Amino acid sequence: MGNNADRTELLQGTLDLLILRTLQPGRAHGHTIAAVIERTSDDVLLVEHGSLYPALHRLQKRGWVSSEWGLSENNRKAKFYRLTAAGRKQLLVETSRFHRLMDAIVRVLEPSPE
Amino acid sequence: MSDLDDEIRSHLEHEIDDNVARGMTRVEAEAAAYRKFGNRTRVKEDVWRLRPWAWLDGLRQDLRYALRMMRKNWGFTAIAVASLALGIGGNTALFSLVDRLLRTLAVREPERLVQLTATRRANTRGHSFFTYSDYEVLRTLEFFDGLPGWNNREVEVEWNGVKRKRAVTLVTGDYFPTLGVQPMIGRLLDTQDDSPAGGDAAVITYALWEREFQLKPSVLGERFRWERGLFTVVGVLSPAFRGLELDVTPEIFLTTHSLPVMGDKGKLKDTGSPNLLTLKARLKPGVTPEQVASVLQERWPKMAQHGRPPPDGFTSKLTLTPGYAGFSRLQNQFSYGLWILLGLSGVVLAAACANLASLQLLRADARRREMSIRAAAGATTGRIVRQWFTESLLLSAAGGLAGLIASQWITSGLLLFLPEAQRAFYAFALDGRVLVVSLAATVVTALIFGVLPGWQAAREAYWKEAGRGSVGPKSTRWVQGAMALQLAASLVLILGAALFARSLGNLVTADYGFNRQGLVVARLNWDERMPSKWHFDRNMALLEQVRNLPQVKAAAFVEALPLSPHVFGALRVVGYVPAPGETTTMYFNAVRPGYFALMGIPLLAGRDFEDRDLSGPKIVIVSESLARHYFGRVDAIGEKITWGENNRDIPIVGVVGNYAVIDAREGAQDVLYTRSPGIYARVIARPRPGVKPAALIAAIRPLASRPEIKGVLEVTEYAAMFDRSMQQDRLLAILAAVFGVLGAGLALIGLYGSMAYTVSRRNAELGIRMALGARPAQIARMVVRETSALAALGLLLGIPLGALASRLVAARLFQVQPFDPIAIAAVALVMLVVSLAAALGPAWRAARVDPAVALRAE
Repeated sequence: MGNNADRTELLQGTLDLLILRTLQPGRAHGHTIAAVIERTSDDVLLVEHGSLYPALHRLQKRGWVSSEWGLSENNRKAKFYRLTAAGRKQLLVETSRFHRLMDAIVRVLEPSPE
Repeated sequence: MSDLDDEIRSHLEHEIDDNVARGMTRVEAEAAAYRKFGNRTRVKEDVWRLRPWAWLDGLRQDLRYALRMMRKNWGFTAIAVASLALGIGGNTALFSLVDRLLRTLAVREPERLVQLTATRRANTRGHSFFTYSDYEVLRTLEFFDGLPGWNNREVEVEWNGVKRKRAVTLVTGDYFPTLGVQPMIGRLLDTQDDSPAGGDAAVITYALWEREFQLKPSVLGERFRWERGLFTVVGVLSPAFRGLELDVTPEIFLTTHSLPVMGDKGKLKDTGSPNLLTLKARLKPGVTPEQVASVLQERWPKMAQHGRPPPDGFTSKLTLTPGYAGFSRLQNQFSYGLWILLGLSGVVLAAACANLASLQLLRADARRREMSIRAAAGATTGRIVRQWFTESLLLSAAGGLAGLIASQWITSGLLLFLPEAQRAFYAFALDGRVLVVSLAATVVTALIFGVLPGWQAAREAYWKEAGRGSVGPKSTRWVQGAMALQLAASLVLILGAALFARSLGNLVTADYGFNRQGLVVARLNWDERMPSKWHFDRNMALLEQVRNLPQVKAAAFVEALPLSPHVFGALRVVGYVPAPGETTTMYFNAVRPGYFALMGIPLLAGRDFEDRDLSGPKIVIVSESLARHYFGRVDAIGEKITWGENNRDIPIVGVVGNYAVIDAREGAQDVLYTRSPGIYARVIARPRPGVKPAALIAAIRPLASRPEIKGVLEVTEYAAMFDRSMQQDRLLAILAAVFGVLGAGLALIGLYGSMAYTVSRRNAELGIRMALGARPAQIARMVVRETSALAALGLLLGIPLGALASRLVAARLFQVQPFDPIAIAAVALVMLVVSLAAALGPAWRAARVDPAVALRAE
């Protein structure tokens, strides 16, 4: 994995946000979620696929996602996750929190000239 | 579980599909997918840990591990459990007793009850005895909702032809209504019964009903005889109510008006006969004890006089104390000793905790390697501390369990403090409160000796290299701190043992003002149906017969023996002007000629009574203390004291030495002797030289059957009575000694453990020293020196602590200063011996370290 040096480890806590965001358009199974996160971030974000599952189960436990077994596009058995109403609300909360955090970081890194 | 497996398998299959689609071979695709997924076991564990009961798994793991460690170090486990058992057991036992003593009564709204105590003379303690007239005036006060009064006595009751002593409580009419006690069957006593019309009604306790009437309802209407009165059972109490006194378990309740029924007409209304009723009162809603106290301060003195002038110018005081707990005459004398013991057992527990903490700290050091490995394998600080805490909790749980068992034995030992009749009531009963206390003690001790070492171990696990090198300076300091604390606690225990032993020794060897060697006491029974002349003749006959025995050197009559209850009262001393608030109180005694010579009480002035005085005018003899107190000199012959209704002045004809009246602690007391002992008089006899008291007793006993005596004769050695007077002190000394030995033992174990451990950890250092030319003796000296330094640290910390603790027990000590130099010296010596004994083994082992072996091992 020579290209690992160019890839960034996820910030603490952002995995939950990414999963919720990925599920916003509709239901998806674990492998799809991992692939989407990787692809949409132009392979910059490094997600060890295994770490996705404790996160998914945690989100389900909190009632933000629900799950059901179904058939995937490859015609294989897969467990699909979808956002619940609470999950949608949480996505908004997490998104705005993340934006605030990013703004703050950017302000620190690139102070606007006065 | 399989659900998650399926999910993971599904994920991998999708990834493999993708990889194959990208052009990988099947094998490459699988390998890449697995690599990308990461550690499957950890993923499963992470998901697993999300379950609500996941922590239980950790606990089970900790417990299993802790059990294994306990089995492996069984020596340490045994010491830990034993010392904790003693600490927790002692505390549990004492708590159950103290709790029992202070327990709330099973009556309605106990918090509104107050206990009344009257102080009627200057310089005396208040007491809770009121006359019937006091009761009648107090009852008129507007802020009381009833005034339960009672009087306990043991009387002979004839029931179905069987005569038997019964515990009877006489109560006022508002006793049951005010307390809100309910009957089991029938009814309880009320104001109707406590009146001249209804004094013959009786209520019995549930216990008596169960024991002698098999709970049959036919008990209602049963009749029994007490003296001349016939009484009828009208009800049975509920089992929860056993009277208001903790030390007395009544069987029968009667009203105060049962006295005229049984034939004792005079006593009820006679204000001259005090000591009738003990009173509680129920405050009306909204009334505070402070309000009552302030009103009573003004009104009570007048009320207490019942229209007569004050007897001695002293204003009587009435005090109110919370009355929710049972009244106990024992409470004061008994509970002080109990509090001392509770304190001592608390110190034992503290010493055991500190001991375990230091041993655990050392073990933490020994297990540094294990901790480092655990930390490296991903255990967090919290996890490591939890592991230690689990081990400690397991230890203290075992200790607590053993302690609960031990507390039963400890309680039965403590009950020896009590008169036999009351032991059953205080006997150990495992109730919820006691359980909670021992549980709390268990957890707290585990916290104290488990968390610090655990934290220490966890901290070190991260930044110390695994398991090599000598004991770090940091952990050594902790261990030293814990050791010093433990030694200080041990010192307090040893000091306690020394102080109480000295106190008891002083009590035994003290000068009581008389010679108690070999004295024998004989007393005839009293038959209340017979006139006093009959008693007098019989007693005189007994004295005569005893005097004529060949074994007897001398015999005399006395009313109150030294170190036994005496009558106490106030008399006017002619020519003496009391200071404001002062009362001329004194003890009374009555003796027959020859008593002083027999007892070895010196005649300091004047003369003894003589036989011819009996028919002459009244005369008295006084103690030296009384003479000095009121007349400023020993030779008070011819001075006068006034008593009696007709205020006659009685001349003093003799002055004798002081003796210990009721209690050795009281010091010299004012005593007034009259010449005619009453019907309670005893014959006291001293055997001839060479005759044993037992032989004298054997000679006196047969006299009971002589025709001119014909009675029940009670003959005892005075020594037994003397011993009884210091029974509490003896038990306190014994228990303090047990605690002291325990303290010394803990110190020994602690010092030995820590030194043995330090030596084994310092093998390499010792090896180097040896290799550089240190001789074994030097090494051994070094170990001894270090142990002594620890002991010295303990002394330094412990002596001020001990001084503080001994100040708390000062009132219980007899002629011992709290900071007793001899006791301190003894304690220092014990600590020295203990530390030397503890150092011996480790020093010997240190001196035998083989440098070659030690260095190679390192």
